[in-house]
Amino acid sequence: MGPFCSLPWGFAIFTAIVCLIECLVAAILWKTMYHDEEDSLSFDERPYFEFKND
Amino acid sequence: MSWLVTIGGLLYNVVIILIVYACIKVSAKRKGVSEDFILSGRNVPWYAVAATIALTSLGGGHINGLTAQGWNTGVATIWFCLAHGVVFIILCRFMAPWFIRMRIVTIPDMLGKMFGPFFLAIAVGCFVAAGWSTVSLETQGLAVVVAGMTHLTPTQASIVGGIIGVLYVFLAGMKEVQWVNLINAILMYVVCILVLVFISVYVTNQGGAGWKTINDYFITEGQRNLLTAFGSGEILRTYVIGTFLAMALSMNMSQGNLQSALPIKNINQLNKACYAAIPANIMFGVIIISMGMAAKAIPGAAATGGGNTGVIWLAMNVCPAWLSICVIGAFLAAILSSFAMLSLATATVLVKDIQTPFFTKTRSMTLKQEAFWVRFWIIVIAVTGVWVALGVPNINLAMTWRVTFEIPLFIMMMIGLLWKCSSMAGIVTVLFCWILNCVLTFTGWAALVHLEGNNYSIFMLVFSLLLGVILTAIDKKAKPGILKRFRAQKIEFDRRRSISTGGVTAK
Repeated sequence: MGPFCSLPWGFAIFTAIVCLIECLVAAILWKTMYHDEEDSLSFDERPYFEFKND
Repeated sequence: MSWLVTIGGLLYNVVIILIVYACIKVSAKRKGVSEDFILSGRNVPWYAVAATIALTSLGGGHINGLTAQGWNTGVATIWFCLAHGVVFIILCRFMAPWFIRMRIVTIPDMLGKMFGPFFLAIAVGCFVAAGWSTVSLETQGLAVVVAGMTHLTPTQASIVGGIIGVLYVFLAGMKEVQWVNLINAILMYVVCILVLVFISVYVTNQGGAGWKTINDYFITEGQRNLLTAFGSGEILRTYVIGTFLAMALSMNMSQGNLQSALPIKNINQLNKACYAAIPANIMFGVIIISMGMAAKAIPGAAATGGGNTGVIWLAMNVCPAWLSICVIGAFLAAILSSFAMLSLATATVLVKDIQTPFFTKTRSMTLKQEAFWVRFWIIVIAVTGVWVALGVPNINLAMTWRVTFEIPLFIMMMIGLLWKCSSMAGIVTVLFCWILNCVLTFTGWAALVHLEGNNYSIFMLVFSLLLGVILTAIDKKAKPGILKRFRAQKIEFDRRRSISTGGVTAK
C-alpha cells in the first residue's frame, strides 16, 4: 500500500516530503499560538511571575 | 577485530564525553557560573537543544528495534520515526513554552497543579516507572550491541554500557548531555551515510548492482509490500496505525523529552529548534531502516538471523576498520544519549516531585545539593536499570506497549491545559485506561474487534478521549483550564507591573 519507496533514495525522498509537511504544520501552529513580548527574553530576564493554582 | 572495534566504539564515546567535560569546566571557571545540573542555567542555544530533542528519543528503539522490525514491516517501519515529528511539534508548540512561562520543570508537577495532590502522586509513580523502564530498555540495547560483537555475556555488556551511560551525564549534567549530543548528532549522520555508500560498494563487488540488487531482492522474494510506504493491509492494521498513535501521543509525556527542551535560551528559539529536531530525528530512521533491510538482502548479514545483528555484521564486514569503529561508536552514542537523558529526567522527578515537597530536610536545596541528589538517583536508576535489563523481550514492541500508558495522561493534560481541570475526571480516566491496557495485554479481547497486535494505543486514545471529555463536562466542580487561569493572572500581573514600572506587557 502507498507509494513505492526504493532503498535508499526513494525512501529518503518520501520521508523528507512528510518531514516538510510536519515542518509546515509546525510553522502554522507557531503563527497561531499565544505569544507575548517576553518570549524573546532569557529565563533570567523574564519578570518573576508565580502562577497561583486557585 | 570485534574487540578492537568494540573498545574503539566505547572509547569514541568516552573521549567525546571527557573533551566536552573539560571544555565545560574551563568555561565555568572562566565565567564563574554556578552549577545548574538539571537545566544547564537555561542558556543553551537552539541547535544544541535541537540535537538533544532529536537524540533523546533516538535510542535502542531505533538502533536495535527498527533494524529488527524492518525485516517484518519494511519501509512502513518509518511511521515509528514520523510520529516523533508530531511529538516535537507538540513539545515545542504546546508543552515547553507553557512550562517555561509557568516556571514548571516536571510533567507530574503540572499534572498535580491541574488535577490535585492525589493525581500528582500517581503521576509521579507513573513517570518514575516509565523513565526507569526506558533506561532498562536502553541498557538492553547497549548490551545487544556490545555482546553481539564480543565474547562478553549480556550481563557484562550491560554493565560496561551502563557505566559509560552514567559517565555521559554524571560529570556535568544537562550541559554535558546537550553538547555531547550535538557532536554525536553530526558524527552519526556522517558515519551512517558512509555506511550506506559502503554497502552499495560491497554489493557491487559481490557481482550485484549496488542498492538496485537489494531492492530487487524484495521484489523477487514476493515482498514488494516491504518497499511501500504503508506496507500491506496487514502491516497497516497491526503495526503502522498503532505504532504511530502510540508514539505521537505518548512521547510528549516523556519527562526526558520535555527536559531536553527546557534549557533553551528563550521561547522564540524553540521555533528553530523544532524545525531542526524534526528532520534530524526522522531522517536517521531512513538510514537505520535501510541498513536493516539491506541486512536482510545480503546473505552474510541475513545469516545472523535478525536485522539488529545483521546491521552489526554489515558494520564489521562491509566497512574499513576505522569506519567500523565509528559506526559502533555512533550506535552506542545514540543509545547512550537516551540512557543519560532519561536517567537525568527520572532523577529530576524524584528530586523535584518527591524529595522537595515531601521531605523537610530537602525542601529547600541549593543548586549544589540538588546536583548531589540528582547524581545519587542517577546511580540508583542506572544500577537497577542494568539489573533488570535482560528480562525484557523485543525492544520496539516493548517500548510501544510501555508508552501507551502515557496516552491517557497526555489526553488529560491537553484537556486540563485547554479546557477544564477536573480531578475526578483525571483520576477515573487514567486508572480505567491503565487497567484496560493490562487486561488487553493479558487476554485476547483485542482480537474481538480485529485490533490484535500492537494496537493498545488505539484503545487508550478512544477510551481516554471519551471518558476524559464526558467526565470533565459533567463535573460541576471542574476548574477552568490552566491556560485560561494563567493568562488572567498574567494580565493582572502585567497591568500592575506596567503601572509601577512602565515595563513590558503581555499581548
